[in-house]
This record gives sequence, structure tokens and C-alpha cells, in this order.
Amino acid sequence: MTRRLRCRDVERLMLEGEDRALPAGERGFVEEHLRACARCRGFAADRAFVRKELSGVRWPAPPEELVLRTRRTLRDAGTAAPVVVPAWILVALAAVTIITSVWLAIWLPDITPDTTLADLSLAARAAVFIIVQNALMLFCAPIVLRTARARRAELESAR
Amino acid sequence: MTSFDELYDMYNAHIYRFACALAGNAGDAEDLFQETWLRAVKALPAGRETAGRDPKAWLFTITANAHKDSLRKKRVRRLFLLERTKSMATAAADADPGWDVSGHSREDGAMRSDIRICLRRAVSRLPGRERRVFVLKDIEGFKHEEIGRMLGIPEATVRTLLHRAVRKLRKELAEFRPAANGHPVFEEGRS
Repeated sequence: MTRRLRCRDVERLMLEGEDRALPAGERGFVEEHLRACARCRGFAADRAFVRKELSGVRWPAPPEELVLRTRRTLRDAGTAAPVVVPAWILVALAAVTIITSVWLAIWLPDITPDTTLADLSLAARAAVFIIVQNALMLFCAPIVLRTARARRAELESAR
Repeated sequence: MTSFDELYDMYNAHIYRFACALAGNAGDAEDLFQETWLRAVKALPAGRETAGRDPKAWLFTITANAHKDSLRKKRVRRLFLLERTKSMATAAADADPGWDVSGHSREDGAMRSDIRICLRRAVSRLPGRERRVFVLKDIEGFKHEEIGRMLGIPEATVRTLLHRAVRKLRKELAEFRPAANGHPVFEEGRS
């Protein structure tokens, strides 16, 4: 190993040295570099300082109430039957989807860029209404849901 | 043979500590703690063992993934509720550190508290990936190879992320920098 080590390489080697014993060659180069480079000595000192501070942090134990609440939730989750959507809801959703698709397929060809709302028949207007309503719902639903959740969380934390 | 209840009793304190270190405030740490165990109970059908996997590493992987998802959700939420969520999160982090910064002798107690408050803030400002790697290495004491396996990234990436995190922390903690006089102790192996 004859190449000259850059400070960045030495820093990386120092971090590696915390994980495993470095080969004698690399270790020698690092020590030699450290003797000559104040910047890297600073890095090593900072690193030791942070590790020492972290080892002195007393981590809080989980609150008893949280441990019990989570245990209860886990038991409920373990014993709860999976949520099954009733068959009639699936059939109704499929029927609505098919009817809407057929409706749109019939009336959409009547709508061109030149047509105004006044030119359209009642059924074609209904088709336009369905499209606009779906677009608005797709755009607004996440905002409304997230705003409601944030308000609920705010109220709960205030209690 | 470890039942889920035993697993919970054995590791709930470890998971809470990891969650506190990642989240930076007690509220988010509690959410992360609960989310981890809910995911674990779903992933591990009732009554079955962890089938040869190291349960601690497995649970930490779940926590790290839950943390990644929670940060993603927060980013999306910020898009919609911009300033409000941001200010709420900052207020929560400042009000409730999660890290115990007290409990030292009177002489150095205030100084130590300042350092640890800054350290906590600096860690919580690290980007998600760097923070996860840093916490797993420096707080939980995993090896680079283990961290790579847990986070599903190559070992070289772990080293790069750790290096970046350490450099950023150095900048943040510059005011507490110890004098670099003399030859530093070159640490070897995991302490």
C-alpha cells in the first residue's frame, strides 16, 4: 500500500476500524497520517467525544401504560377475524361500475371540443357530471381525509 | 422456542429505545413502537416462532421500515398541510425530547444536558437513511454487515452513509468540539 491517503479515506478507515480490526498496513498508514494531520486528529477526537456522549445517554424505559396498551392491541389483532366485505356490497359495486361504464360509452362520443353544455342531452350532461365529480373526489378526498386526521390528532393531544 | 408474548417482553424496551433514537420525540416514538409490534404480529402468525432468524435484528428491521414509511407519510402530509404540520412537529420535538438528558452531577449536569440536547437535535436533523444507519451503529452497536442486511443495502453504502452522518454531526456539534491536542486514541473493534 503505497498510495498517499487522503483525509477522507483516513476518516473512512477510522470508522471501519471501529467495526473490525484493520490490517496492519492500513492501521500503520492511518496512525502515520494522524501524526501529521491535525484535521484528522480533530475528526478522531470528535468521534470519540460523540461516542462517549452517546454511551452516557440514559434511554427512557417504555411507559407502562404504552406497554399494556400495545399488548392489548396485539392480542386483539391476533384474535380478530379478518375483515370480510359482504358479497352484496361487491355485487352492488360491480353493478354500479358496469352501468357507469356503459352510460359513458354511449354518451361520451356525443361530446366534442366544440360542444357546449346547452348542446348536450340530459343523459350526456349526466355523463359529464359523473366525470367531473370523480375527478374532484380523487383530488380532494386525500386532502379532506388528512385534514380530518390532523384535526383529530390535534384534539387528542390537547386532551 | 419463543412465543410472541415472550418476544414482546424480551424486546419491548430495546424497540422503544430504538424508536426514541430514530423519532427524536416521545410521541412519534410511541407511534413507531406500536406500529413495529403490529407489523410483527401480522408477519408472525400467532403461536409460531421466529424460525431461526435473530429476533432482535428482525424486529429492528421492522422498526427501520416503519420509520421509513412514517417519514414518507410526513412528506406527503407536508405537501397538503404545509406550515401547520411542520410547526406542530417542531413544537412536539422541542417539548418532549425522548432522550433523557438529565441526571448528572451538578457540576457538569448543565453542560452535559446542553451537549445531549444538541446531539439529539443533530441526530434528528439527519436524513432518514443516515439517521437509521447512525443509530444502528452508534447507539445499538450493530456491525456494518448486520446493518446492511437489516436495511437491505450493501455494506459499502452503510459505510458511506455513516461517514456522511458523522461529518454532519461534527459540523452541528462544532461548539462543543474537544481540543485535538496530542495523539488521539485510535479505537479498534466494537466498544
